[in-house]
Amino acid sequence: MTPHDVIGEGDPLPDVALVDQKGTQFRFSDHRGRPLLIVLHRHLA
Amino acid sequence: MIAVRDHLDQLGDVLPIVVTFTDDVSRLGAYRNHLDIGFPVLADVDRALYRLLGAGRGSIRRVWSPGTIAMYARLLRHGRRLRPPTEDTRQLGADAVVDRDGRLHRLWLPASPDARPDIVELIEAMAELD
Repeated sequence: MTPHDVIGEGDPLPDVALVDQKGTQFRFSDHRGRPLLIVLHRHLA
Repeated sequence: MIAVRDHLDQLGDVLPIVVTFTDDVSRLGAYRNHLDIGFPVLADVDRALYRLLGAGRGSIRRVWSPGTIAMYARLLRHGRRLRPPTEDTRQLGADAVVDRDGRLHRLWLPASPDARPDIVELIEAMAELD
């Protein structure tokens, strides 16, 4: 998968570089077995 | 976000994740505390997840539609303190449900900020996983 690929319903969600407020990496793959609800914010207001 | 926080008991064992693209990760904790949410708030600094899910940038007309302005007015009326954004205000958001196997189950790509799915739609999508 290249950085330009777009995924759709039914596709596996790969890990991307996400960090929390402490700079700790968050990986989707660490949460397999539990459903996720992802909310992509526009910006912090 | 507040709707998700207030309906967690109806969302089963889902883990909600809020993602933004700020490059100042120190703001994430403050935002989490401000909204009193216990789930992760994460930064996607290079917007890789936004691109992956197809969440693009909207036109100024769409982003600042009458519906968007009304949405912010509602938030202010309900006591939300809003700060002027310092990031790209034309970036659109998205909502996604990922199943237990890590596959994208549902994806919403709203054309304007006020067109996000309501909590009922999210609860129904989560129920489809059972």
